[in-house]
Amino acid sequence: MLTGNYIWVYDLMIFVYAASVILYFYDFLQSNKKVNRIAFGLLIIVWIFQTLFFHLRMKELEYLPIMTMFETLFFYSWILVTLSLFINYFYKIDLLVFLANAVGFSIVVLNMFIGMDVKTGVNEALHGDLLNIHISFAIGSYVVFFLSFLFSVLYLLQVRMLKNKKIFSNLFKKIPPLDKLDRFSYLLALIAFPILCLSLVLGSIWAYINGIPIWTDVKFVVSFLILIVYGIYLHRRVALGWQGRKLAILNIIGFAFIIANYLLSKWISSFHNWV
Amino acid sequence: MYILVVGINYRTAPVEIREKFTFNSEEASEALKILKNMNSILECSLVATCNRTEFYCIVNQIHCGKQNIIMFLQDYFGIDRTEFKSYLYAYSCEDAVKHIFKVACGLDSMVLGETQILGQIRDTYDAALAESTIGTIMKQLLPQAVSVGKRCHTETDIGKNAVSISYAAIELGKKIFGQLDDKHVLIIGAGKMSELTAKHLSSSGVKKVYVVNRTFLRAQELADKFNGIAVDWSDLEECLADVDIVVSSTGATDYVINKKMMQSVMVKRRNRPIFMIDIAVPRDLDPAINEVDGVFLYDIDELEGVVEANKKLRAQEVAQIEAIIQEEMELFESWLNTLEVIPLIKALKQKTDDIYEKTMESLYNKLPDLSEREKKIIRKHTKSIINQILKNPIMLAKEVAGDKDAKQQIEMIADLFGVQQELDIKCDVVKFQKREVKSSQIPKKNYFASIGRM
Repeated sequence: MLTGNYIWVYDLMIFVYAASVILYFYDFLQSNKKVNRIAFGLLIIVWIFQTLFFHLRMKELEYLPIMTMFETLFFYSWILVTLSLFINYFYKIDLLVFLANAVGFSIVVLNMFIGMDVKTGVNEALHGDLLNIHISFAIGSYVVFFLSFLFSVLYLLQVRMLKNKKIFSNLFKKIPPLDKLDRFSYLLALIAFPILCLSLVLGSIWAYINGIPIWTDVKFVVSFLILIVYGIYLHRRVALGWQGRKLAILNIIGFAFIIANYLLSKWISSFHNWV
Repeated sequence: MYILVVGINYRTAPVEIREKFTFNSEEASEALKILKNMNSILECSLVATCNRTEFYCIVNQIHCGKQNIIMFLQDYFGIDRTEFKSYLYAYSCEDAVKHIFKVACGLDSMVLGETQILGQIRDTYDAALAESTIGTIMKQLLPQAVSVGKRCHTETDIGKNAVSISYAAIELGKKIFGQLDDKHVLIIGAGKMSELTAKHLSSSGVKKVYVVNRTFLRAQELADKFNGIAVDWSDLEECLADVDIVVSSTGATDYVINKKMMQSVMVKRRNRPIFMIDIAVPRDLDPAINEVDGVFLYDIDELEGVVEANKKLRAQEVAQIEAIIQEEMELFESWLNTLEVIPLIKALKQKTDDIYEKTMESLYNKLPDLSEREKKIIRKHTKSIINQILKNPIMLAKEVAGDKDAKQQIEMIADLFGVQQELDIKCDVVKFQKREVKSSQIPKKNYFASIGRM
């Protein structure tokens, strides 16, 4: 059981995270470079706290803490913060960093209601390198797909504003050019696709080795559907040279499958239901 | 001495008057030379643009200086003063500095916040420097004006939003394509408007310019001017499939491109976005084209709307800039005040140097056997004593220069060191307190020059 003597790290992280998101929002409204830099600094602190928390929990439980729902969501937000730091530093897309972290922050906060209990039901079979890689890759690909999804949403928004000549809003000023949005959503999907692929293959191998019947599992089936949707997306883009609104919609559909997959596994799946 | 600004601009004078008082760069240098030789004008510089002709001077007396400039204008252009006197404005002292800073920030320009004026003020400075018609004060004031202008543009958004149709179009293009340097442009129609647009676009760095026109020869002519490629009218549809930006301004009375044509083009383009600008009246491009997926169509009214909105945005920045100007004026004023300390510092240095030289001479007489190295060491250390003693008084003098009772304090320091007599050597100093000038009653009319649409 969790001793809880390092819960303060998590609490502190939430406070700093809140401050960072608020400052990013302020920068969005007022375009203040100084505030933006402070927000970025705070986000680095959030990352340090998260890493510390992750480390402490790993030390206590003596396995990679990505097994329970709390742990996976936490891991998700950790990767999200890592990637948005990366994007903020190298590409300066403030609007995206703000949106991504607004979501990241809500995950971290909602996560507090789930509770940090360790499910004793998780059997020993769940430990192992193969499984660790399967889970962390799956979560990682979800984060990258999420960012790709955000870019596509911004793309559609931008197209709408340009078409309807609603070009005087603050949002329009902050939104990156269409071309950039299109390129980033494509690149991120391109990165996430093989990661998810690898994760599914490794998961299947692990299940096969351990003799667990997963072939009819809902999560297993939907995951392959996700792969197919994103496969179509990438094919359209790479082989047929598509660009634009329809492609962005396809990307959003792909992400909708990911969300559905997550919820389905929670309620229906015979196997993945503890996650 | 006073700072004086005399001039005319688009606010005070209609273009018929302004065009009479223009200087090209050679005439400007010549004018500066004549002015410099006039009585009561100590420093002078001249800003000459199409919308303003202004003299920035340091004068002995405000009224005299102003009259001299009017006399000069009368003689130089051979126009009787009664004809133009009512269009002139004059600012002196604080107001003059404020005016110069405002001009540099583009607050006084026809297009609020334009940056061309900054370059023009820099040219003014260079020209005056070359003719050596400016001295200490203008050499400080003009560069400071340029830096104030730069500061306004970095600290506020006054220059951010496009206020001409072509820039508005280019900005929208950047919003769609990010960068324009690998983009292809198609110009439909080879008229005057097309030429202007092609010029703006090619200067913003597009890769290729295609020109299409009903008569191929005209297209060829225009294309040659921009290293472009003339395209036959029958190849219009194929060309549309290739380019990213389309600018149309033909004299056609009917739509040149309709929705159906664009739909088939977009299939060929595989939905790659295309930005279409229709600046023709009557319109060339069917408004229904905008409904086609991936097409962003803007007509002249919509671009005009962007320009209007941006102008309002610029106007919102004015208060912030005025605060910056106020700040910079205080800086300039305190710099002016430090000028008063310079005679004192000079006198102090002079006196100590005298003492030092005399002492060293007598020292060398008493100790004739000193080697060069020993002499050097002694010189260095004795010099250091003087500098260390003088350091605090000089710093204090500079500090008190801005105070109200600066004069008494400086005199006290002079008394302490016994340099009063030297201080009495008169040094002219610019006075910054406000002095009303009877400026002619300027009619508050706005004589805006007609601004072309592109």
